[in-house]
Amino acid sequence: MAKAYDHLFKLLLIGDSGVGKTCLIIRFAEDNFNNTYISTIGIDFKIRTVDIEGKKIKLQVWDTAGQERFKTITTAYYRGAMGIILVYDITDEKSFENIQNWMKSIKENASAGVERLLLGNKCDMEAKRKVQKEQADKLAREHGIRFFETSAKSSMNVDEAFCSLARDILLKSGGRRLKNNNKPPSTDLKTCDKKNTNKCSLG
Amino acid sequence: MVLAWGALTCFVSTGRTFPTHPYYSTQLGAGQLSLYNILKAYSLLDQEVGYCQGLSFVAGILLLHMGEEEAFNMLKFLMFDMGLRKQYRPDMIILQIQMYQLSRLLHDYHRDLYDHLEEHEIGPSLYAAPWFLTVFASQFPLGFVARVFDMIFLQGSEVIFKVALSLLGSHKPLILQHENLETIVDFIKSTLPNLGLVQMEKTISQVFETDISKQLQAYEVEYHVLQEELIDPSPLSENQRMDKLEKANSSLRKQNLDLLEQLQVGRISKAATCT
Repeated sequence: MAKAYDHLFKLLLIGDSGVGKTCLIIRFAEDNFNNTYISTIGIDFKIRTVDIEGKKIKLQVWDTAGQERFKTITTAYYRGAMGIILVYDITDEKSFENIQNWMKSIKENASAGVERLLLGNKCDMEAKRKVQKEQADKLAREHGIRFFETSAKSSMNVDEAFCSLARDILLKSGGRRLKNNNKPPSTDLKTCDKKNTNKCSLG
Repeated sequence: MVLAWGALTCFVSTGRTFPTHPYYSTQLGAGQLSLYNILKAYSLLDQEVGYCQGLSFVAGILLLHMGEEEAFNMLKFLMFDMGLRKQYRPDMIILQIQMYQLSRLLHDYHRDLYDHLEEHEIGPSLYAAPWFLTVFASQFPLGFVARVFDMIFLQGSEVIFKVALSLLGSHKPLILQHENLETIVDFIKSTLPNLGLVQMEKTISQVFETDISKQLQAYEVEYHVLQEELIDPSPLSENQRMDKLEKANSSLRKQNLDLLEQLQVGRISKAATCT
């Protein structure tokens, strides 16, 4: 049986409880949103195949329970991840402060070359914002990673975020095909044309 | 501070427990508030466990059957007397052990299924963690969950293993048909829980026919031994080996005595009922 994809990338979402990890994954994999998802107990995953640079990339996106004590279960899945997405909630300062702890978890448990990405979710709730974009930008720069503000509810930047991470992994794994790999984080990303083709493109 | 954070987490969680059930679906409705009260009260009573995701489902099931205060007492009983509490402790080591035990039981009872899941790198933590932490309540029909609760009240938390084993066994042919990680996990998470009445009855009678307490005990010991080997891979000196063997020997001797005592007690009570 021929494979329906060229590459399989495993991505993992981590971050505090309630920041919207499951909603981001459901938005990305099923283009759907509602408030009635149950808490993630342990670990889960969803699949979506996207086109990046003419390659069919199957993304296996792993969802984790955010509560601290679940780390004993979830960290076992860090090792297999090629990309890790750190999520905080822009209306919850604590969840942003904890990004440092999640970074530490990555360092302790993930493979050395893992790609990382920072997301500030719930950016549709501007009135309740507690974390300024500049703070997160700065943090992302310090760690040398990309950063997006997303909304699983409005779908803003969701595809862009997942696809930029997938693209970074592709570029890394596919040898040094492009020399301009050292772009600053979160640069000129064009929107993913999700509705008709599942295609992701970067400017 | 810790408490405030815990309270907040459990408050967020009350909205994510049975979100489609009419009693719990209204934001800050009677159901959600009662659930919050119970979880908050429990977290104050048992500060070590505090609030743990999954617990809200257990409390939620109880609240569907009784009032707030009674449900709280029932939760206490399930946690402390029926042995559910240990799996929620902050280190979650017991949950890890339970996952190991389930995997070993599968190996004993359904070797082909065990091999199939291993081949696709599907460990129990991927599908069975919510079975244990919510006592099946997050995925299975509520009528079935109520039956499982009844059996726990009769036999203790071992019932969860028996139900899990029976469910996996009875769905084995269907699980074996799936040939990759995604479809297997999707089947176990989404299709398997939709049990019909006949399947429910079958599962429940199987639970009453199964006795796995010896295996559970043995596999718990085995888990600890394996962990020790993982932690301490350095070759042991003769003296250390001697020490270790002596310790193992004395703990086995103690276990032996305990078992003898249990046997005695069993004989006496049997004799008492016969006369």
